[in-house]
Amino acid sequence: MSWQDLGKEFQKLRGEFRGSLPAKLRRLRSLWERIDCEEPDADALEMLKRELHTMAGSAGSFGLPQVSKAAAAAEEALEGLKEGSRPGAKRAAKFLPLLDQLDKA
Amino acid sequence: MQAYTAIVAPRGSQVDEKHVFALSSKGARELQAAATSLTAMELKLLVLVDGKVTLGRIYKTFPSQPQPELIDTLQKLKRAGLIVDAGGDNEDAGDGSIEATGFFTRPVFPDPATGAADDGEADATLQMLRKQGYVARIAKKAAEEKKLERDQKIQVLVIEDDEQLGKLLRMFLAMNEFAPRMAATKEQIVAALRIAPRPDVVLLDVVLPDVDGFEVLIRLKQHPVLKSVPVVMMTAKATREAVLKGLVCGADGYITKPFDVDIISNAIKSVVGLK
Repeated sequence: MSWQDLGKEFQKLRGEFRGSLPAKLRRLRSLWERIDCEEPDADALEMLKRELHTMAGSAGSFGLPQVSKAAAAAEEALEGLKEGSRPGAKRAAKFLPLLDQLDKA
Repeated sequence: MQAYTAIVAPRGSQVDEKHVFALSSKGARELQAAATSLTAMELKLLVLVDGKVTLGRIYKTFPSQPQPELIDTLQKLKRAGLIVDAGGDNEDAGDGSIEATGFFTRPVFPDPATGAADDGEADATLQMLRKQGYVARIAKKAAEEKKLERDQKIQVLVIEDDEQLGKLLRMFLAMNEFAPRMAATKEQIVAALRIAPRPDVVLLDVVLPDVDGFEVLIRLKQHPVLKSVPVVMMTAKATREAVLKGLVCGADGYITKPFDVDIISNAIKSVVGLK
């Protein structure tokens, strides 16, 4: 494989990564709904944090800093939230616009 | 006590725990370097001092380390010009104010639409990362140089759960004459470690679906055979504590995502002893 081929492959993977974002975002929203409810799901909170963390790291490596930035900020917005606790209006007001940003990125 | 004069309180015999150390520009360059000749303890202290930190905080961070040894190591770092005295009575020092140690990556390949990497956007993200956390690029230099036989390749176990990033790493490593094998879950890690030949190096993501990367690191470093295999941690968010935890648990390198794949190559070469 030549460097040129590697460059093409990189662009292909970058495209794949971009293409996978809508599904990942739907999953993030669904996980959020599982914690922002009457009986918050502790596992969902952990998964949400982990998936945002992974997205923040990978997006930057694929040259998508806006995605990386919004995902990192969303992960940070969940800091301090205890397992099994409902996020509350203040945290939701901080978190949900970041998901909207990811939608647009 | 004669040797410790620079960090003793005026009253002479008592070590001043409020004494503040700061990283020098030379120290910052050392942390930015892809390889270092520092010992593990020197490196841990340098990472801790990054920014400013009091002697008291250093003692608290390494409670099992004899204090005279810590002071000796600090003096050595001072003599090497990697850290400097920043006075005393700085109550705020070392409270978590973290400065980026200066590595950031941008798209490795030009954007096909513009023909160039978007440096402005990347630089803006660097600023964000600097504000939000710690950006690390640390890799120990192997004690011995490794010579490869003809057609021999460095066996790299990549533990990464993001599918596309895993593919990118595998492709890049294969392109650079490494022999990558991939794992994303606990089961796959165990299976990959059983495949002969033994990996020469492990690239380990900290956040994995069913196991904590630090737990994997600790288990590797406790394993009678695998403990000598260098491990480079990769993570999207590296707090000072996380970097220290990795180094204390025996990691040979710590790299923050997003990373330029060239950084990975340099880190591997450094920890396995390739020139």
